[in-house]
Amino acid sequence: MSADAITVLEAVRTYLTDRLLPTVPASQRSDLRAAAKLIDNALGELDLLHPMLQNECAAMERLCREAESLAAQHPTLAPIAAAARELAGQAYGESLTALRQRHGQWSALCGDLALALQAIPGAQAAEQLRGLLETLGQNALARAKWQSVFPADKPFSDIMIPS
Amino acid sequence: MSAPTADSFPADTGAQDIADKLQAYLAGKGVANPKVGGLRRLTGGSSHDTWALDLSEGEAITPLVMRRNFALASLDMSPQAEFDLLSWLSAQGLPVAKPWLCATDDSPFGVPFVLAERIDGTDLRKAVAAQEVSADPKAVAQGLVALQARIHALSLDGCPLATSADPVREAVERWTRALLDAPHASPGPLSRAAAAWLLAHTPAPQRLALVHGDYKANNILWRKDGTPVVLDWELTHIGDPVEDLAWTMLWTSQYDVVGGMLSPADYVAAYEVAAGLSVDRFALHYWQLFAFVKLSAILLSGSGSISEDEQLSPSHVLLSRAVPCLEAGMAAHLARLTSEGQAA
Repeated sequence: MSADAITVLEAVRTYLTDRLLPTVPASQRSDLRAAAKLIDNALGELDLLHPMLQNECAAMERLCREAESLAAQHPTLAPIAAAARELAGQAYGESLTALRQRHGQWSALCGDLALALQAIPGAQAAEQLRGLLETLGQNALARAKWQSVFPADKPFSDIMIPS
Repeated sequence: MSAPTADSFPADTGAQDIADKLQAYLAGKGVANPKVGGLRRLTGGSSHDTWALDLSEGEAITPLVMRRNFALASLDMSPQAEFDLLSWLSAQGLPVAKPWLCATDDSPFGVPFVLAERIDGTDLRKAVAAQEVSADPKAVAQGLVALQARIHALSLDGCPLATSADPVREAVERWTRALLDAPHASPGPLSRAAAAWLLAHTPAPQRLALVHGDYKANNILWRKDGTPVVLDWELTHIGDPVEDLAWTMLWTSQYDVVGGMLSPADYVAAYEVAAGLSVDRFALHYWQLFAFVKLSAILLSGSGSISEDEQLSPSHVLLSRAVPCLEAGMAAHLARLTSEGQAA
């Protein structure tokens, strides 16, 4: 049986750290260590990425479709609701590449929605905005385990001193 | 300016070559019979390196640090501007590494370099982690807060930093643009939302002050005598001092000033006592959101040293992958600010 993608990445990582690292000049070692860490992170990400992107696309679609309820009162939301309907109706392939592209499209639309909701006064828009921010925040937080800069269990400072 | 290619690094062949070039340069600048010894590389990367050295002039030996800039990151200040700022700060009595010389166009290395006083010590975060700080951590932190307030209280008369008519707005525009236009990255929805919110809600500052821009434990050199030296002034600017507090509050490991030595509330309270004024809470929350945006921009762009048309190094990619953590912070802060807006 030939090596699968995970095995290949593991082999490349071992080559970088065990064979190459001891031979390169000191000035290049930090980049080499970073490359090995990136492979570690990618190995974890590959395991979970496909179902995660599918779930996130579904959540973002739901949020964009919810904007339809406000679109009649707030014309700035109408093109976003229309674009969401169109994107939801489009077929897309099963490949990871196709899924990543679709995820990018829903993310862009969610960005448009966030900007539009920020500009609309009132409790209803604020409530939708909070829901959108919560979902997008969870999406972002799900990636905390695939980085090596911040502690995965406390990836950002959430301190806000009460007013 | 773009980051260097392999060909744009200084064409020296090692420590002896650097020492020879530096000696010749200093002799040309009027230093009597200079001898450069003890040269050793401290740090090195794609945009700069730093070296420790001992400069002998006859019997006198001066311990120095040399920093060479290979590529000027567009979000940092120039070596000459930093040299001028440090000279001014030193003259004001601030605990900084005294600058000694700045070479730009006539540098023997083909890239600018700065020589500054070398001070023995450990960065405070490491010193705390290694339990090398014998004083009460709370007292240490309160001293650092007082020092931060002292920086903010400096009169801006004679300050060599250039500023604009509206430096606060300029800072917000600069860093939101840096995030939205970061190379090799398309801004995510949270980055876009945070940038738009910041641009729409910029608060008028209570006062303008010198803002360090990166005031945190690992930019404090802790001397063996238990006194601090403030390092890394590349991001210093004139602005809202509350911006500085929010940035310090971003770093909350057990070895940091906030979260480690002081609780967040105690940190702000200590600053209010030291500065003799109250900190506007809306401004603090605003600048906390800004801190996420600014750090994201730095991680994505290498402080502006990366251009769109060059390949990213693994180190840069590693840093950029931390941006979702900051975006999660943006989401949490934006949600609360939205709630506050509703409640107001």
